[in-house]
Amino acid sequence: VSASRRDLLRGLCAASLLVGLDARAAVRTGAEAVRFSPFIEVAPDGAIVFRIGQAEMGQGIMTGLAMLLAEELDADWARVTVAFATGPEFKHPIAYAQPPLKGEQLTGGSLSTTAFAPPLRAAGAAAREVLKSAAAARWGCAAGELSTRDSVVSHPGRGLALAYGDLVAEARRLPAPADAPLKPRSAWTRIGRATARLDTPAKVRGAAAYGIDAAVPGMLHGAVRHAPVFGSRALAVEAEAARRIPGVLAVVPFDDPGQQAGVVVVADSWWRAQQGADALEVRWSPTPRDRLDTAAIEAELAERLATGPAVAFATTGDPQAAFAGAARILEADHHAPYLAHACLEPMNATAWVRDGRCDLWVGTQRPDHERAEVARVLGIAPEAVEVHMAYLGGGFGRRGSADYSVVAALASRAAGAPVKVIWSRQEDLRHDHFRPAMAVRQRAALGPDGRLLAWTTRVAGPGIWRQNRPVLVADGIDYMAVEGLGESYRVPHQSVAWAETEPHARIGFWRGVGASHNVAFTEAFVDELAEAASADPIAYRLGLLEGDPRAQAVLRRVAAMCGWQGTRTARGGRGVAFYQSRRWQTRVAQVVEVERADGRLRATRVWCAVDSGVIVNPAQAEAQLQGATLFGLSAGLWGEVGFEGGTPEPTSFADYRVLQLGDAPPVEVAFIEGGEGFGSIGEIGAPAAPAALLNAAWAATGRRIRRLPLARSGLA
Amino acid sequence: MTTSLRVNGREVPVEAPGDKPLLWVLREDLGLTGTKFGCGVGVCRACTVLVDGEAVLACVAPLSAVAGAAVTTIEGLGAGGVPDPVQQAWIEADVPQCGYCQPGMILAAKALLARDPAPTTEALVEGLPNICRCGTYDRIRAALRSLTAKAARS
Repeated sequence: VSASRRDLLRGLCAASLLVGLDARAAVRTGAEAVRFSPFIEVAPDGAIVFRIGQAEMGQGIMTGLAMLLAEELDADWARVTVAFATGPEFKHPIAYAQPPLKGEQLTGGSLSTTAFAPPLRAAGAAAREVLKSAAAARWGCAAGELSTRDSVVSHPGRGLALAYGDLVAEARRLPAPADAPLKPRSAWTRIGRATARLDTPAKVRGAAAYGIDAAVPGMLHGAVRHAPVFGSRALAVEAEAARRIPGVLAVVPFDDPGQQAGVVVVADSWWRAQQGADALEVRWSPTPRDRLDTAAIEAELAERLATGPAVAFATTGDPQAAFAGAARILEADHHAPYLAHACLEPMNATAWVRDGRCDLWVGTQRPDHERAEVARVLGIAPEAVEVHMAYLGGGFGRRGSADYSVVAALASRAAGAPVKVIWSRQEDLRHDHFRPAMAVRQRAALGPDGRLLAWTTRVAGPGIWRQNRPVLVADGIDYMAVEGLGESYRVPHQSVAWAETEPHARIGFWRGVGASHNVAFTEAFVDELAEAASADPIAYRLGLLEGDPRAQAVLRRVAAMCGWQGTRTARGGRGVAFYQSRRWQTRVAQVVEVERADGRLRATRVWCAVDSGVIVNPAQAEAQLQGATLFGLSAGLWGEVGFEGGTPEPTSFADYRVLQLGDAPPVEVAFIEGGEGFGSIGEIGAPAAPAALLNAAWAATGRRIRRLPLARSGLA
Repeated sequence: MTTSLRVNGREVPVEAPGDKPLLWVLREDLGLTGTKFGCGVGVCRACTVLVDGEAVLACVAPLSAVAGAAVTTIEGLGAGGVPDPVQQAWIEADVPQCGYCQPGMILAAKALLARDPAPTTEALVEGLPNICRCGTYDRIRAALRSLTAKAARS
């Protein structure tokens, strides 16, 4: 593909995007618009388009990044629209950017704001200075005499004013300054102001285009039936019954070893294609996992807590000596199950393979990875794969795996037409890249007064990087397995070790990743430590966090918010949990309140206090904390992907229960801006919520539940 | 075979088998993609549409069952660029995150309000088992409260 053709295609793609994302509010800046940077375009009529490479999966990032740009540009917010873009200019500055990795366009790790605040603010400031220079040239004055606001440059002294749109012709010819000054925080007018989402109007009109809404002329529809057991593949496919279904056009077996295998049925309607997939009779190859079940997974992890090799992750002090001198030793084993992401938009992609290239329409967190994976299975160059971005109907880490795009590309190549492959809900739940099942053994050495002297942790389970990004496993440690362990508190003698196991299925990044299980375990254990010290759980944590005022502040705030008077309440109990993350530059404290009803527990209220530094959009940060908290609570109450005969068990939301309006507790959120950094927001509500739930369950029932979810103990 | 439907106020002939679910008729035959596929078995309710004013799960409603009926999808709410009051309440509470469940959520709320113009917020909550995986429930409750407050004033 020549450069000019690629540019043309890219241009077409960008144009179709603007229309495609919201068909009724198409925005175009036209040929006269000036591109100040990859991120900013201003048209003579004053229309401003911000181009961002981050995926909008509900986290409000298109609004948040636009706020960062608009702040420094001093843009008229009413004239701002946002377009999704792909290309090397939109690579993530932090995630997967360290050698030997080469960086990629990626939305994940809750790092969009942290990573893009510096380049976007700089881009906004540079464009603002160029516009000021253009006005200064026209007025024959120094740029320093001018000020900007709402897309207008003005000269206060001379009473002059020019709109940005009127300056773009001159601005086009001026160089961008290398180090335009950023506005001081005291001059911010946009950052920190609760701002309505830019995508809400389209979303409530049904006009927002998700990957599943792609429409390509001549498009066929595909339904997939994966091999039931990970590692299996189709040995023989009896497709006679499927082919007799009207509209069924092709039956396409596929096998991508180590990734996925199965059969796609292509038809003139998805409904027919799914009937075809259901009608297939397939003989699947045997695997070593064919007798695997939930109990075997639990037993395997429990055994690895006690025996076999483990790699030391971090050791401080001399835990062994501390244990030798302990007055008392506490020990607890915890287990968390496999979990599905259960995005409400099932996995899907639309592919059109033709002339040695492939177009992909997909809601994705990792467009470059989709390109690489599709190129790999088609045997073409990644540059020959074009990704057309769309809104994501939920992501939570699932939509960066490319398996749905691979299936669509193989189906399109076989059918010789564009094909949209949608996974049924059962396929989506059973062939997820699951949050892995993990177990943790924690031991604490206590002094005679109950004081914590030493804390050792051994975590058993598979490594997500090991399976998906082995190059990131350093010195035998997969950080995704140990994240959240030994992290929140400074203990004089502490150690963390990982006992690696083989995964039983595809595993992947699930909102909160390693912290999603590890923090649930550590914070449940801290409550046991508090009990051993006869201390209130919040007071006990404040003691552990002596000398860490930002951490203490969120605990004090959450205590004040809920009127904390201990764990017991008349009809149930309250539990607290705390987490601070280096990766996310954040501290979060949560209190969950439960009530007893018919022998079960019901979460009735949640309070969260967070210090993530500067909050760009408080309205969306609040929504993210609420959503992630409920995401974690759903998992804590009911979340479990069981296995039977090697096959994941869930079939739909009927047996993979998540919170609904009637049982979702209100979540009250408060932010403390204890620092100047732009910390993370998107996942931080998830990891501690199940721990607060377990601790509330103890307060309400006197039972220490050490196996998630609560439903396993008959309490939810 | 041809089935006649009235969709968003317009008569549309549909050339599709009678047992094809309304969801796929709307999405594939009529290009109305605002109605979402979430589970296909009538559990998540992302596919909720109005049929003669009643909430119907389009993923399990065969085309033949709605022949001749008036179907309202999310694209048919509101008039002349002015959002329906339920949509307006959703905009004011800035409810959506990923937004995928919201068309079904909005239409389900619309049906509840049509049946009982002055319901309690509790009744609306009870009547909305639609699944939102992002957890926008706090803001849905806020939108419902504003709708019930308006209904009580009028």
